[in-house]
Amino acid sequence: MLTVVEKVILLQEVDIFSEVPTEQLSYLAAIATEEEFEAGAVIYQAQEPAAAMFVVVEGQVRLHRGAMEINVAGQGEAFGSWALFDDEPRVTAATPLVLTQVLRLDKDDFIDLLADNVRITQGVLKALVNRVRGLIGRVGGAGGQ
Amino acid sequence: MDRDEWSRILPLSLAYGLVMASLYVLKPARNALFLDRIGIDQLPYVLVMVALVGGVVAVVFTRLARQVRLDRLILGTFLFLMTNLLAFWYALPQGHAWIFYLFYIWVNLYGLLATALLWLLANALFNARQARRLFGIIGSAGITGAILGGAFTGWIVKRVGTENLLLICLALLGVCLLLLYVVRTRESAPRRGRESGENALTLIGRSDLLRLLGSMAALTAVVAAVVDIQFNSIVDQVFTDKDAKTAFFGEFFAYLSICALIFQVLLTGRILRSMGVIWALLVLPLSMAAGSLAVLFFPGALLAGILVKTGDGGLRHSIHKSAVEILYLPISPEVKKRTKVLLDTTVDNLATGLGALIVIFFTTGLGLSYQYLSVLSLLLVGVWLALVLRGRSAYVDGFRRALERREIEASELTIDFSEAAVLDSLIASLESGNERQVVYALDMLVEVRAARLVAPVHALLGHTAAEVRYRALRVLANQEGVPLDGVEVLVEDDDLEVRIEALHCLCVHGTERYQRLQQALQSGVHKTLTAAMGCIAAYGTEEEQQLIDGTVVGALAQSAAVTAVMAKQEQLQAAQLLGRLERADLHPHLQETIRQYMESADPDIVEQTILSLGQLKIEVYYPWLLEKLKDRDARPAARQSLAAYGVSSLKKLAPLVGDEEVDLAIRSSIPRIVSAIPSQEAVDLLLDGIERADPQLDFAFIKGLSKLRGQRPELNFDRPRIEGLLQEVLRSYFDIIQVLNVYTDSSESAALKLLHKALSEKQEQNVERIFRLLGLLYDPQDMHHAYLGYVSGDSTTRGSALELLDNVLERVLKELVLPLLDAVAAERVLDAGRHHFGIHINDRQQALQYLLESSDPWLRACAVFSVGIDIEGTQASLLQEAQDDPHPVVRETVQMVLRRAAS
Repeated sequence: MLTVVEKVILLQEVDIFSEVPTEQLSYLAAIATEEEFEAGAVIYQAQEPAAAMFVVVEGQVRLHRGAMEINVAGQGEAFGSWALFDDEPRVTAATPLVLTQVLRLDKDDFIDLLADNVRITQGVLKALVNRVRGLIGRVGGAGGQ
Repeated sequence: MDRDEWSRILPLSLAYGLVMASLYVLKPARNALFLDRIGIDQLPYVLVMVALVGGVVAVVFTRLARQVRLDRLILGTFLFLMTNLLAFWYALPQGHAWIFYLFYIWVNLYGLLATALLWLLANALFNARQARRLFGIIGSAGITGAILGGAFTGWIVKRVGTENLLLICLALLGVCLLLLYVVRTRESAPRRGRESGENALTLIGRSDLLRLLGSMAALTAVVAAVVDIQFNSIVDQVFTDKDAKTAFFGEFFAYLSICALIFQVLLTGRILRSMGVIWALLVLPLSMAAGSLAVLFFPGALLAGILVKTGDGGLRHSIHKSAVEILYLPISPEVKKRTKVLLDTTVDNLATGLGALIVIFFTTGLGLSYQYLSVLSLLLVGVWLALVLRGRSAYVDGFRRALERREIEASELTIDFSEAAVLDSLIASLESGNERQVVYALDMLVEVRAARLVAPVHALLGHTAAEVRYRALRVLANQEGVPLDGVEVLVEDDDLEVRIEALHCLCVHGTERYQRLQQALQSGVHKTLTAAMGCIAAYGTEEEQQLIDGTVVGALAQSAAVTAVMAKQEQLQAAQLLGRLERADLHPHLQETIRQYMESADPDIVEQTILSLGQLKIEVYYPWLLEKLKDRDARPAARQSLAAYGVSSLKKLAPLVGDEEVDLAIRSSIPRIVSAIPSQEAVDLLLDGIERADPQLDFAFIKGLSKLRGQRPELNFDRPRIEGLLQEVLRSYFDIIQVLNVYTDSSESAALKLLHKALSEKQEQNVERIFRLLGLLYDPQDMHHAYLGYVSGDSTTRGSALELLDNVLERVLKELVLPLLDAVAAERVLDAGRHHFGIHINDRQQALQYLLESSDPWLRACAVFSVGIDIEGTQASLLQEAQDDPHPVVRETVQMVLRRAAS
């Protein structure tokens, strides 16, 4: 079982939480649950309603659309993050390649926490703005070339 | 006006009156001395010098005002001016020519500096809302001072002589300084925010209206300079004696001020309303043209001189100024802010200099007498008139565009919307078809009464948007001769607000108001009944309020009882109406209805009921509202309602602060509720809260105080207590620097990295706390900008922020705050901290002990986690103690660390 502090160490590496202060991450850590999946088991399927995001604690998770592999998430990497922000179905499936332990953050719990904790909201928004700025910068750079 | 406002406005107004009085003593003396000793021929040259020196001084003074504390700036400037007066009093009788040039220029600068300083002080002492109420008093004191100063000069100069008038001014300034000491403020002058984008000239170049304003300002100043020289020339010819000149100038300026006052009070408003802004703008050039003609045909006649100067002196600062202010109406506040100073001062200054140069060219170059300068004035007035007449379309277009973009801030205006051209533009907006624009225009028309409005506004009663129908009814309620056919239909409208306004409109314009309301209440029709209840609640007389008796409330309760057949919208409207009833607690039927709505399964109805209870302020429901803070969806409404209970709410909330048995959701809402009750009691409770609340919540209390300070700066923010809190935060800031200093190598492990990050975040919070607390002692805007600059990451901006603190903070605070915030190296901060707090954290053991004893559970958990698996003797005993930590996260971390160390 991971402690709250250990979960914070994992969560602070997740892109969308990079601007959330560690104390506020401890509140997120408190609602994050650990789950274990055998190799080849289903974490979620494509087109399934998205209700949680995950962080790999140990193991590897293959993200794929049918046979086409999109990415492989390793230790400390997050997947399914967009589930926290929209109601669209999953665009990929997630399948563990080996025995894998993940940290699961449910959307409903996350939204409840945001409603109560403005500093988490600020941090998440700041990270999203940084991401948009990065995209604009890249598009601008490409346009200029 | 409260006692506190009186205590500031009285000394300030008196001081302004004295400054204006001294100015109107100095002006006649200056004119008379210059004409007597130097002669009229040199007047154009000195006007050119005034323009040049005035421009430079204005720039220097503006910079100085941004950097120096206002009380110091006032004291320094006034003492400087007083010393100057003494020096001139001594030097003028010596008779050196240069001293008269210098004195002429100096009097202009005196007027500029002394009045500018007093307005800066007024802006620092009062917020925008107070300014609107109180600045008129200061202005009136100024006019009175000018009148009395001029009249006094006319009377006294024959007894004491012109030069000795300077000693009288010296005494007036001394009294003024004493008055200003009473209302001194340690804040710096209000500064403008960072300006970005295009410069003022580009903005002026792009706008037809701003170009018109700029050209008009320039022409006014050029003609005024020519006229001034002609006037002085005539006075010089008529009065040969120096003191007689002074007496004449003094009396003339006094009468001129009286004329300006009378014209402003009696005629300006009427001319603007009946003839419009364009005609008002023609008054000044036409009067100047009349004066110039008089000088042309009756050169040397004092009456002609008086006539030519009356326009400039009497009308320029009354009707012309008001009309020009109206022309600024379509300009967005941001553009206005950035261009007005340029147009009002720089253009005026440069054009005055240009006018003087033109006079020099015509008189010295071409050898024409002053009489013929009238021809030049008439030509310029001709151009001016053409410009004004062409400007009408620029004004109306500008206004139309501003309405489209909703750039006009109605709340910032003091002008009358019934001004002819403005009204035309607003009516045109009503027909635009753009809903946002229509709503905006109706909001502006709500106080306007004009027959022309009735038809276009009446046509909007059939508009699809309820917002438009509602506002149209509000405007119509204020008009005469409104056809009631379209209004009657709206009493059955789906929207409750529209129904209420429609019934109100019928009551205002129809007959038998009381019977109409009575019938509506007895109608048995839900829509009519609710309209009548809402109308009585909002507009009813005391007698009409009595109509809402048990029967009426019973009828409403009955309709609530049949909820199954009642549409949700109607239930919501009924719940909304509950809040508007007076003494609702006296109606037993209503209590039952309220209870039903409180228990409704529909969250929207519960929310509306919560809001209505806030309006009713019935004590018995307070605990229920408090409980609703635990419900996330209902929390915002509950907060609003609890705040609506006002000061009585504070008494109930006070015991809950710091009571750990009270639910955290309730405790964490307290700062926001309290800060929404702007009162001294709220400030005191928030200060208590910082000291008593959970460390997690103390920042929310500081934020609450910041909010109140921004809204009500006149409230008393207990300085010693805030300084004590500041000391505590600075101490925490310094302690964390010491801890960080012993954990310099944070790359050792993930645990140490986490601790380092948590400490840095705590430090960021401390910095924000420091600046917010400083914002309670000094100008909050200044401190906010300083905070943004300090955390910007840019060394120049950070330097400016620290420079601001250096200038604004008092010595004791400065010595405490600046060394900690200013030092770039940790060693320097440690040196500074050692001086104030002493050093006690020298190694990791001490750091761990400090962190484990801190009130912040997260820092305690991170500190425990940072110990790792190699636990030394002292650490082990500290961890043993931490096993009993009150916070579960800390206990969990200790157990994990001990378990791993054991394995």
